[in-house]
Amino acid sequence: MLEIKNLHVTVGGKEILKGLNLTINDGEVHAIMGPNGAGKSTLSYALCGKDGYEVTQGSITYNGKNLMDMDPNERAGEGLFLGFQYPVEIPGVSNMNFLRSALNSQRRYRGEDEIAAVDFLKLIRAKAAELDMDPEMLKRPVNVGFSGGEKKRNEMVQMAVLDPSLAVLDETDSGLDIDALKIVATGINRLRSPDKSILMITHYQRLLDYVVPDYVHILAAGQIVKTGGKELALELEEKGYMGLGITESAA
Amino acid sequence: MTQKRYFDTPQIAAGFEAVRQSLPGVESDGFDGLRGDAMSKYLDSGLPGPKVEEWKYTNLNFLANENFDIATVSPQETEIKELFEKARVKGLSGPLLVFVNGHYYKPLSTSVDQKGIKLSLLSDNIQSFRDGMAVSDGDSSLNNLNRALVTDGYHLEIAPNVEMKQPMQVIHMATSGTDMTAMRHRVQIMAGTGAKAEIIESYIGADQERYWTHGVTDVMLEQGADVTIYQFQTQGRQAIHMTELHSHVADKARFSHISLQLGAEINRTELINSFTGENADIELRGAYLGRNKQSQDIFTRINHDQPNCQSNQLYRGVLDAGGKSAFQGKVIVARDAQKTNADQSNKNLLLSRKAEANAKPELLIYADDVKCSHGTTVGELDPDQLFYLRSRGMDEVTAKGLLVEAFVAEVFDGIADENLRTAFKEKTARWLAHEVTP
Amino acid sequence: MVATQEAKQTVQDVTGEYKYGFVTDIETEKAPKGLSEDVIRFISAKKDEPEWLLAWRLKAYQKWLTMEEPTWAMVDYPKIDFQDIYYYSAPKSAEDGPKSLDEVDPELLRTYEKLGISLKEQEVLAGVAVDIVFDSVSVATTFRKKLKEAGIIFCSISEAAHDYPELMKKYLGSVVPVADNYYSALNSAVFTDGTFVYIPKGVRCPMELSTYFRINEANTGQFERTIIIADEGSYVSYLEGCTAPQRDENQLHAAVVELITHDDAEIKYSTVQNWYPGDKDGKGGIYNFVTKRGACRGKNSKISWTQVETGSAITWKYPSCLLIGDGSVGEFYSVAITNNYQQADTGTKMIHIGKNTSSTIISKGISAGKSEATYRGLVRVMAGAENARNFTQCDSLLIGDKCGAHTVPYIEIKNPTAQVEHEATTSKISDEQLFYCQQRGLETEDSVALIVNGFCKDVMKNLPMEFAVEAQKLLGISLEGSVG
Repeated sequence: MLEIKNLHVTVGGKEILKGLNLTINDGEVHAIMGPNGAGKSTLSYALCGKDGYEVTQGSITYNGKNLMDMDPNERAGEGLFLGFQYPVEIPGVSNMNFLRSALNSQRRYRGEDEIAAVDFLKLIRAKAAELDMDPEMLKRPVNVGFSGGEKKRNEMVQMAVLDPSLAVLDETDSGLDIDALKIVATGINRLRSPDKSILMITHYQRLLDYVVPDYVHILAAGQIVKTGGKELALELEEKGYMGLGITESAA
Repeated sequence: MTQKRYFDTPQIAAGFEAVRQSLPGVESDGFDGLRGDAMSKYLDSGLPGPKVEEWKYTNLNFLANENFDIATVSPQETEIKELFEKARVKGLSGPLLVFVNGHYYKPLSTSVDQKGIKLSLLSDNIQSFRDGMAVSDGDSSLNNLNRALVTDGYHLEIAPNVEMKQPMQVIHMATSGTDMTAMRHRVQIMAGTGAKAEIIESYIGADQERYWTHGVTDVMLEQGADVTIYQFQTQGRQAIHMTELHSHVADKARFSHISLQLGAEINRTELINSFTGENADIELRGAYLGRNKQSQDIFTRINHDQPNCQSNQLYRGVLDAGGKSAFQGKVIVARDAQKTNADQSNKNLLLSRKAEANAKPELLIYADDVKCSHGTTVGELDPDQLFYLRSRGMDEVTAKGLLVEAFVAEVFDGIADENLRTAFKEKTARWLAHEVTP
Repeated sequence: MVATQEAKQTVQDVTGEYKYGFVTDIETEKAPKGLSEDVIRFISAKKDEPEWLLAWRLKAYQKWLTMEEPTWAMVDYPKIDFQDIYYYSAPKSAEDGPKSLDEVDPELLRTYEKLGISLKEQEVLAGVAVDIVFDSVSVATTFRKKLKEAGIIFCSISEAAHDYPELMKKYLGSVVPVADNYYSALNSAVFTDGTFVYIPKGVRCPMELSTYFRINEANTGQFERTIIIADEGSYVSYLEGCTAPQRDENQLHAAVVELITHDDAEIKYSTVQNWYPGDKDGKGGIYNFVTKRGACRGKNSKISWTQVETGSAITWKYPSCLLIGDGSVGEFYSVAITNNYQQADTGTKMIHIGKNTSSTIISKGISAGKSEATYRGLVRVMAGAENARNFTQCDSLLIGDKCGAHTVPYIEIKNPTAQVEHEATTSKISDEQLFYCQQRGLETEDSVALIVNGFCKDVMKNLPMEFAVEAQKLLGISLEGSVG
């Protein structure tokens, strides 16, 4: 269970999140929507511990542990996965090698044995097949020369292999055509289970047609200003932020 | 078996004492003393020899045996007129400053009448010159030689937030009768906070004379200043052309140098640039063209001593039969100069079996959060492109000319003023067409 | 012997204290400190060398005396006192070495462990006195038998001087002339051992040749001399060094390597260099001043250098190719990693002389700590080298803000049909890449190692398989402690 209390985050000396509260229980799917500059990406980076995202007040606890004291890789070891809005290219490092190193690092962190090479191969091939990824792509360097859709698909394959308990997906749907969007939705829905939680950060309602959330929050000017069920997303789609009385400078 | 890095030129010392009394500023102790100090510094080191790394591609040995006197010729008015018309960029109405054989030439010069812009000559502003020369950081042996023997030059001050309305044109010419003479000038450009100026420099000279033009320029840019120097080097075929420029670029200032080098037998152009503030910009662009024993040696340095600055260099070389070039571009990023962006591109075209291109693009980097790159190519015209043009009916000469012009055009395409842009392109085209003085 | 008299006079002039009274004592195991004609005679006598080789050495020594130590490289070190060095000491006998692994520097053992080196091998590498019939010697013997059947000569340079004098006379100093540079002249005067390889016409060497199999002679490697000749249509892949750091007290290493390929022949020369780099404060460490050059003498011949340089306090090394034969090919793939106070000035020269020659240069430099890494390279196309091709890519990566990365290429082109391309970039490991790896669970150091390995991929893929795996681990080890 993730619990965020009164979270204030500063980036480059500027306060972006100003007292955000959010609780996500096991098995729940939450969606956060909000206008540009509301602090959506800041929330995901602060959760995962990126340098330069300074928590000045408040707390983040996950399964009773204080996340804020942990390095990004320790948070990953605790089961936190971030689906990047713009996945990074790493030349010369194959997807396969990258994922095996990541998975084994996480296992070491949790005190588990490293996965046998054969088992890993089976696992990654199976996950790639489930998400319609050409197995050849596993040999290519991480995200190098991938199209936007391929990168997002790759994020989903990584998520499937690493099998996190909390997935934070930062605009994973942006810039995708309908086929790629469906793949991403498949990836998310496969993860969905009573002991896993998902936080989707999105600009548009359309992803929510494929992954139906339990809760929808609206983030504006660094705070959650409205919370509702899936119908809130539809209402937002219809009326816009202005129609719901939310302006970019609201607070 | 020590090889001499520098060599002596004793005749220069004797020559200096002979002319010392006739040089401007002799009545000013400070100035004359400065000359004397500079000469003894020069004599300590002498001319750079071939073992000096920076002079790897230009051998100055011949200067040891050739005696260049200070030019004292009285030139012909018609010849001056003729050279002036060739050099002048048409269609511009800014101030004109003409130097003939190393001395200010009043009949063709015009005055600057804009408030906040002060232009003076070395001969009538000894004080400012001495001050400027004392702070000039160039301490090479050739810079000292210039300090000692300089005959004229100009000092330009642009007051804070003043924008020069029209580019100022400066023409340095060498007429007939200048054989075996040397012309040394100095330029000081001081741009105040937020000041803006454009200067067009043209070098031109008589083809049948072996003369030596030797200029040193110091450019100081205060915060937010913006200075561009355009240079046309169309010296006579036997000329020795040496210029050395030092720029200091403060916070948010911007310095550009755009040049076309196609004259002289031996050309050495040095551009030494330093950032003294942050968020500043330096842009160096140039084309150098050579044939018939011509040697074009372009030497640039950018000292990224400050963080958050940006430099861009783009040089194109075209070498035809008997032409030789060297592009040596050094970028030094100091330890604390984080977030530096430095890019350099140098491409060379060899048009003949008897052409030679050399390049030494250097990156010396001591800061980690930087993006620096350089790219260099040497090759001939793309045969596929050539064939394509010829298949459309063009003869070989036309087709080659067109492709070479396109290759060089990249240097000048960004120039906003159409007259200026056209002048660069036309001179290039005339060189390609083998016209006498382009 | 007028020449010798003259030589003595010169020595006297230079040193001012030539000792006539010094008599070579063949029975001692160590030559006295310092360099003199007598020391060279001592070395030659110890090796029981033919007269011509001694004469050759003495000539080199005379040449060396007239030369100056080069200072153009971007490396900075205290002046070497060449009279304070032992130029010959017999291979250490078993009693001199540590008696067991307990006596060996634990730091060194920790590295061996990380590289996955067996205990037996660890003992050999660390110079522990082990039973003389250790595996690699017997392996070496088996190998040599198999090679002999194919007509391949693979022996020490001393053996070659005895057994193959004609080949030695023909090729020794033929690619790297004695007076090529200060260190090549020094090496020519005092080289103590090294490897000689000859691959006869049309023979494809059936295995990777490696000095690894002659590890028992490692302690004599201070002034190594290597000659590899690939006759018409032959092929050989040679691995230099081994992938575990050598325990070595020698401060100065000045090796010379000469490669010769005849028509249609190919030599692939791979190096993993990890001599002792000095400690975290820059104390100690090897000075590695190496001259490596290959001559592609034959048509369509090829020389390929691959190097992974992680060791030595100072590296000064430019494996080069003279592309003489028409259609010949030169390659240089290099990874140079410096950390702490290491300094490396390394690169290559590609001299295009024949027609249709081509060369490729891929250089990856990684600097960390307070180290300095410089790429220095020359691409020269001579006037007669029609259709020469060169592609050069130099990339530098900086880790931390106290190190330096420099690129100093020279491009000299005298033929219009040449196509030469040079590209260079310098940057740091991006924060974005690091965070991405960490978010997936990788620790910081592992993330850096992974990204650096990716950065070096284009070079590492040219290493023979078993070498590559260990070299990869080595990259990680070399960068330990570089990320705070």
